[in-house]
Amino acid sequence: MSMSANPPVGRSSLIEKFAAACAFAGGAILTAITLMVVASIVLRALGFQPIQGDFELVQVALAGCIALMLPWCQLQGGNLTVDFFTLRLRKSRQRRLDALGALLFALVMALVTWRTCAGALAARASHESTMILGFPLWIGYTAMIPGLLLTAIAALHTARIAWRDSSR
Amino acid sequence: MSHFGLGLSLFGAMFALMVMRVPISVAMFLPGAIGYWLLAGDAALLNHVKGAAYARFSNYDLSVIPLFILMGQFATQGGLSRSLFKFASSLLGHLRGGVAMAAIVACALFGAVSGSSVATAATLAQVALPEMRRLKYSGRLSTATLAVGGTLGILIPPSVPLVVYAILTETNIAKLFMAALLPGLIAAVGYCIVIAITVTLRPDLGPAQPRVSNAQRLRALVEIWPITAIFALVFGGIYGGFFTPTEGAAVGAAGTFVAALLRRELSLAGIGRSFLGTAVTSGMIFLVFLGADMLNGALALSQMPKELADWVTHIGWSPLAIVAIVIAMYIVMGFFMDELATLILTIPVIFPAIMGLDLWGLEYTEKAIWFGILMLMVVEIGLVHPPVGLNIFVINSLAKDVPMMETFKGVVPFLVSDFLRVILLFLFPVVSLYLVRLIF
Repeated sequence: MSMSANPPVGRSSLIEKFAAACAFAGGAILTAITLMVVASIVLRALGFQPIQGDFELVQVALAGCIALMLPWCQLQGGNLTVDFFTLRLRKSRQRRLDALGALLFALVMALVTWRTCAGALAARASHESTMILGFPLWIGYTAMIPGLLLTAIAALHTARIAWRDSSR
Repeated sequence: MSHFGLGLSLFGAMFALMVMRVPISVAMFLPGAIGYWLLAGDAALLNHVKGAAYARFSNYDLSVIPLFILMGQFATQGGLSRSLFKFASSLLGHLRGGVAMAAIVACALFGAVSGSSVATAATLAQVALPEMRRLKYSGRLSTATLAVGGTLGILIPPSVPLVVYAILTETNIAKLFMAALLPGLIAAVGYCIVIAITVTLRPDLGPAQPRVSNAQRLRALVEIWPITAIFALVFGGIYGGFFTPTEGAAVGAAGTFVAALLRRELSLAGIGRSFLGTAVTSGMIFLVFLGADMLNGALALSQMPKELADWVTHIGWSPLAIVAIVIAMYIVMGFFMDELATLILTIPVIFPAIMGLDLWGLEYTEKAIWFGILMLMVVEIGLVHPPVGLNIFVINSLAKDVPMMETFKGVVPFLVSDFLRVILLFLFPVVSLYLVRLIF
C-alpha cells in the first residue's frame, strides 16, 4: 500500500500548474456546493422554500468537481499502488514498472474521456435531463471532460518522468 | 470456461497487476473491462463505459466524502488541533504518561471533525510530538501513540471508510456513525489504558508534569468550544432528522471554515492547501471507485458474487467461523493494501455472502451495521501494523530522531488492545448496536 513514491514532478512544469489550477477550481466548486447546501438548509429552517432541486445541482456540480481534482491527484501520487511486493527490486526496475502502470492508467483515462464525450453527445441527442429542474445532463457530462482529459495527459507525464528516472 | 471461473481469473489478473505496481484503480479496471467484453461483447462494454464516470462522480451520497475531507482539511490548516491538545493535556498532563493520553484524547476529539486517519495522525503529530519530546517522553511511546491515535480519526464519526461501506452496502450512514461512536470511545479508552500500563512498567518513558490550575483548564475548555459546537450541530442535525448526511457534511465544512477563520490561523494559502489536499484524497477514492465499478460490473455478469454467496451459505460451517475467517483475510490484506481500496474491492463480493448467514440472530440491517463496524475496526489495524502501516510512515517522517523500528515496537501493545476490541465487538454485537437501538 501507500502513496506511490513519485516525487513532485519537475519544477512546477506546465502540466503541474494546469493540474493545480484545476484542483483549485474543483475546490471552488466544492465550496459553492457547500454554500448552496447551507443556504438551502437556512432557508428551510427559517420557514422559506428551500432551493428547488438542490440535490440535482449537487450531483451535476460534483461530477465536474471530482474530474477536476483527478489530474492533481495523479501528479501527487494519489493514485494508489501496492508497493509491498516490489520493495526488494532495484529502484530502476521499480520506476520502470511505475512507468508501465502510469501508461496503462493513461490508456484507461483516454478510454473514459472518449466514452464520456460519447455520453455527452448521446445525452444531448436524447434531451436527457434531471427530474426536478430539467437540467440537461449533457452539461454535466461535458463538465467532466477537461478534468478527465488532463488526467490522461498527466498520467502520460508521470510515465515519462518514471521512465526517465529508471534509466538514470 | 465457466462464468465462475472467469470471475476468479479476473481476480487473479487484478492481483497480478497490483503486484506489478500498476495503480489499484487500473488493476481493477482493465480485467473488469476485458471480462465485460468477453461476457457481453464490445458494444455493451463501450456503452457501459459511456455513463460509468458520470454515474459514479455525480452520486449524491458520495458527495459526503469530499465534503467531510474538506472539513478535515480546514480543521487541519486552521490549527484546531492545537487547542484540543492543550485542553487535553491540561486535564491529563499531571499523570504519568498523561501527555501521551492527552494526545489520544485530542486525536479522538479531532476525529469528531475529521474522517481520515492519516490526516488526524499527521495533524496531531505536528502539535503533540514536539511537546512530548520536550517533556522527555520516549521516542517509542510518542510516535506509537500518535500513529494509533490517528486511527481514532476514522473510528470516531465522521468516518470516510464508513461512508464508503454505507454506499457500497446501501446501509444508513447515520446509523453506522451512531454505531461507531461507542466502539470508537472504547478504542480511545483502550489506548489510554495501554499507555497507563506502559508507564507503570517503565516510569521513565513518560514522566508526569506539574498539575495545571482549574482556571487554566477552564480557559483551555473555552478554546475548544467551536469544535464541540460543530460536532453537535452536524450530528444533532443528522440525528434530529433535520438534514441528510450530505447536508450535515456541508454544514460541518462551512462551520469548520468559519471556526478556523475566527482563530485567525487560516490564511489564503491555507485555503489553497485545503483544496489541494482535498483533491488528492477525493481523487484517490473516486479513482478506486471507477476501477471497482468496472470490475464489479463484469463480476455481476459472471454471477460470481451470487454463486459465492450461495456456496458460503451452503458450506455448512458455523457462520461465526466464516466471519472470523473473513476478518483474518482482511487483516492479511491490510499488510499490503490501503484500507479504502480494500473495502471498495471486497465488500461487493463479500457482503452478500455475509448477509446470507445467520449471525447472532440479527435481522438484516443490524447485521449490516455490526459487520460494517467490525470491518472498520479491522481495516483500521492495517494502518498501524508492519510492514506498511501508513500512519507509522507519516509519523516517522515527522520524527526524524526516532528509528522506524522503535515505532513498530511501540505500536505492539496498542495492537493487543485493537485485537481485544475486535473480539469484543465480534462476540457482543450489542456494543455497536446499543446506541442505534436506543436512538432509532
